[in-house]
Amino acid sequence: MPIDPSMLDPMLGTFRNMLKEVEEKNYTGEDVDKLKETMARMEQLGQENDDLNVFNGILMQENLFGKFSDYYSRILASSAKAEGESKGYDDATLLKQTIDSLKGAIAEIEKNYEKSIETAKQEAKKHKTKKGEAKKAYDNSVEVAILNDPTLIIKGIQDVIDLGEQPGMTLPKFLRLQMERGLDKAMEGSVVARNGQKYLLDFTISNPKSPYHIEVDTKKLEAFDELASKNKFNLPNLKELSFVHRDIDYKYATDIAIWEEITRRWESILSSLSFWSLSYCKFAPGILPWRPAPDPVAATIKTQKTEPGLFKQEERLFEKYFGIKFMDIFKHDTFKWAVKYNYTGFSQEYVEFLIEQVYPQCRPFNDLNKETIKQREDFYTEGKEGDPETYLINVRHKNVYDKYFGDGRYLARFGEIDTDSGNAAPWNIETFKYAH
Amino acid sequence: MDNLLEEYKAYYALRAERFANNPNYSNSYKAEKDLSEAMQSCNTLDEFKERMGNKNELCAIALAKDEYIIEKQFFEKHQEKIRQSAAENILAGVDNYDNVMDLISFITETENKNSIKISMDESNRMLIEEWSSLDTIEMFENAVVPDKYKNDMLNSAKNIKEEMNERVKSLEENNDAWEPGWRLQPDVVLEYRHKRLLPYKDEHINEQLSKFKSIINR
Repeated sequence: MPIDPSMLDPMLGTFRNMLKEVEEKNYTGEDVDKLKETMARMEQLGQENDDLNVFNGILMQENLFGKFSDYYSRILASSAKAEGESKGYDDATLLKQTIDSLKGAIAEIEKNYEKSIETAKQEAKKHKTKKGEAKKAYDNSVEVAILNDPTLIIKGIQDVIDLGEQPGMTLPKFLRLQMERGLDKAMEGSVVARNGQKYLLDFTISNPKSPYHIEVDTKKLEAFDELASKNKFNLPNLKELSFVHRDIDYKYATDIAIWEEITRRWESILSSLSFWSLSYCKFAPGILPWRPAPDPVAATIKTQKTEPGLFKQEERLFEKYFGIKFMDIFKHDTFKWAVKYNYTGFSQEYVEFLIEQVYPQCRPFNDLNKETIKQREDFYTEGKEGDPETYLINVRHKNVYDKYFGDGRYLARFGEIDTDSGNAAPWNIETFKYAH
Repeated sequence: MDNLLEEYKAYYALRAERFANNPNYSNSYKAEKDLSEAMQSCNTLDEFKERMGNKNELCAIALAKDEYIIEKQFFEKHQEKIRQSAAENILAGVDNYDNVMDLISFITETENKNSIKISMDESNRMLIEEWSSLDTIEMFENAVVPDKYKNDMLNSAKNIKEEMNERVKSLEENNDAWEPGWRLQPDVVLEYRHKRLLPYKDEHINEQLSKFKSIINR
């Protein structure tokens, strides 16, 4: 059975168009024959395989995409060479051809830009509210327009065109001046690359997962400027820059993995204590995750009886891997970081309750005492479990978002930030004695 | 035409100058300098056509060489031996080419073959993905719980083991389409390029790997 055309056509469509172009221009020769053979092989595989993974695997093993591109490039190159040889050297024509191709590139960039915005708008229309109105959160056409804004790239190309159209310009002079003024690199998008890196850094700083994430993005931006400063034309070689950036990623990968794993484990430990204590509340059988069970009451009892045993194992593994005991969590940099950026999800008073009341009782064959159950119910019903300033994550994000996409854009797209994150007091790490 | 000749001389001189004093681009500098010198020695543009020969193509080949040297050094430094092999193979063959189109074909084919090797190699990182499940199995098997729930705990551990075996089977079936006969080699994860992604000490990695191999019967 062949591969579904809805999947096959987008994959092979570009190649079919390239072949069509070659045929329409009446190109002939060995490379054209091989191009047709390669296309026929891809079509044949599309008809013989119904598994997309197998189809892709064979395409890669036989290097069919690579071969197709190779033959296509050879056909175009030999055609251009033949045309050039037949006409002899004509500086004015060569310069004009170069300028015309740059003008064509601008037209293509502008067309693609408009198309990307239109696609974003069309995509947004697919998501509607119950009343049939488009959901604003899905309309990212403004963001697409700003993030893909080709102004700088077009300016880079236009500067080159302007240079080429100066009176008395010749092709060699044009090529030399491009390099001397760094216009060739600007046209490659060096300025855009730096802006993109700064954008990433600003968003990272607003809500950094760890100090390492800030360091990574800061160093990447510094690397851009450092390579640029060493370059005669004050623009970095993008190939060199990509290796420096990858070097930075490699350098921090292990530290980031450790940070994230430690965080994940203590988050799970606190959640386990919260979950276990919740199962004792009188309303527990009526809430998730116990409500859908065939016997919700029995399900809460199972949690009460088994969770301490599992919790002790979780605690043991954490200490085994990272040497961190339960009380060490709160002194750890990862925890303080999470408090600072409102990532813990829990309020200070609730964490203190988990430490002081729940943790000492969470032992196999032990039940939570009545007084603690009452306190636990109060935390739930009074809305004091959560960090009341969790919304600050969104506020920080909004500030950077509006900086890039315009004042009020966050509000227009996502609505007012919900500041109602519960009734607990805000965190104050100074008064949290377990952190010191 | 005299003016054009001088302008071409200035252009080719600057092309070489771009790579001056950059140790990462010494081959490019040399090739561009050769080309520029050929140009500087010409008295007419027609003369350059003859003297240029394939020097322009050699510049493109030198640039490829320089950039694959950078890539090789980068992957050597990070002990990425599979990724490094693409650069090594390209550097071993690059001097056999004096035509850019042929070189591009060779590079594309070499990179393509290597990208499959990279995917297959990185599939051996399965332990990294399964670490959490291995911990959960350990928790279920060792948790101290009332007798009434012991079987539930053991059954949960058993289910996770079965799912793990299913994932191995599915991975091997999937990869067979890319490299016929591919089999998971769990020990490969101990090589630095994979191990560096694990936030654990060697003793724990070895212990967890043994458990993983025992569950999937390898």
